[in-house]
Amino acid sequence: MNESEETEGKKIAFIQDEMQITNPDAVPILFHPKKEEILKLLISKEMTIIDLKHATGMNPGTVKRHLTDLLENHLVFISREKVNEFSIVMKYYRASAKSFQISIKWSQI
Amino acid sequence: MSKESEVKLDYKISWKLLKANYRAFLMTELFVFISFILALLLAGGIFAMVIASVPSLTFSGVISNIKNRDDIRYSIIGTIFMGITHTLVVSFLNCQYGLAYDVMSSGDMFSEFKRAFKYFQRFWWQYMLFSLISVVSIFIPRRREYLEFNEITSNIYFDIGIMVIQLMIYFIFIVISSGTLPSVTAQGSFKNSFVETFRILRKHPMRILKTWGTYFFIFIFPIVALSFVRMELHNFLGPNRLFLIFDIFALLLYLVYLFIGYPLKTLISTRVYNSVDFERFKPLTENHDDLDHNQLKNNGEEKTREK
Repeated sequence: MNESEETEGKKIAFIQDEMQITNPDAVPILFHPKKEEILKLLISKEMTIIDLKHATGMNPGTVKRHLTDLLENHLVFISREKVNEFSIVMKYYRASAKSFQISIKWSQI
Repeated sequence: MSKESEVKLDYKISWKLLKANYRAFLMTELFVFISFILALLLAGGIFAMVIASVPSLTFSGVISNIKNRDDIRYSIIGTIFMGITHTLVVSFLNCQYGLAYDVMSSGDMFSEFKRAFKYFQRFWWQYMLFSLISVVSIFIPRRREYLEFNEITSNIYFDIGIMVIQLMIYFIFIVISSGTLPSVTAQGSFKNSFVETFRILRKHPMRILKTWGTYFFIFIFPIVALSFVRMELHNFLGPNRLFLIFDIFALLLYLVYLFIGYPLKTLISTRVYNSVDFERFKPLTENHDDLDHNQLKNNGEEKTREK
């Protein structure tokens, strides 16, 4: 679970230092080059889909689809929603942890 | 910030967002445009089949009846057909309110053409009902056939009176629909969307009148004024090749309205709906993006909206 703190009216999300990946379905997501690129960007700071579009050069629809996969596997989360001065709602995404470690055990039945 | 600058901002921001998302909006319009052409071809085919199957009807006779307006039945059939086609076509065009929602309210700040189908699936009857109401604006321009059939002579003052009524009806329609459709997309309830529209109108009448008055003079008034001048000139000059120029110009103005005016209207109305301060009903955000909502719950985060 990600914690958050209210600072000067802004809710800032703190991310975990490390996240253990125990779900085998999340493994291919982590190794997908585009998703990996997005995840690395979101580890450093929270970004909107448009920020990610500019940073990666992908079209926003592709970014959104990659983000959906990352969200489904709890690798990223929506850190906050902001309404800017032009009344446009902006959704920020952030990685769930600063680093990810795969930890899957296969034991004898 | 003054109200004047808010009206300017409505246009400035909406235009910027339209340029940034032109592909989704343009695809919707092209889809509608192609569907309309196909509907006309289909109707033409059915019409030809009906004439061919009824022995008492001939192609030349029917065409002459339509051309000379000898038989009011053809005019009624034509009006009903155009009414149905218009209703279906504008219903889908209203999905652009959903695209505008994606751009301005969903948090994603972009939209895609395929999302239009999702919004149509969700709000089809609300969008269709509004298209049906706008059909009134088709019946009024066709008044001439009924007047001529009933041998009522019209004069320029009568025509001006009709035009003013037509413009007023359409203006009221634009004001109501541009409040209701963004509201229904945001909070889901058709009844509540009317309540919200009247709340906005009561609280910000000048903002609404200025924004939509400006829109009306840019996109609607030129089309109506041109058709009025054409009609009056036709009364004086009779059939003339000069009218071809009018028709081409009218088509161009209509295309500007369809490809620029309509998507701009959806973005402006969504911006107005988002930016004005009034008592809102709870938005149904989870309906639009189940995943995001669940994800927020999973992460134990609270959505925060900062102004």
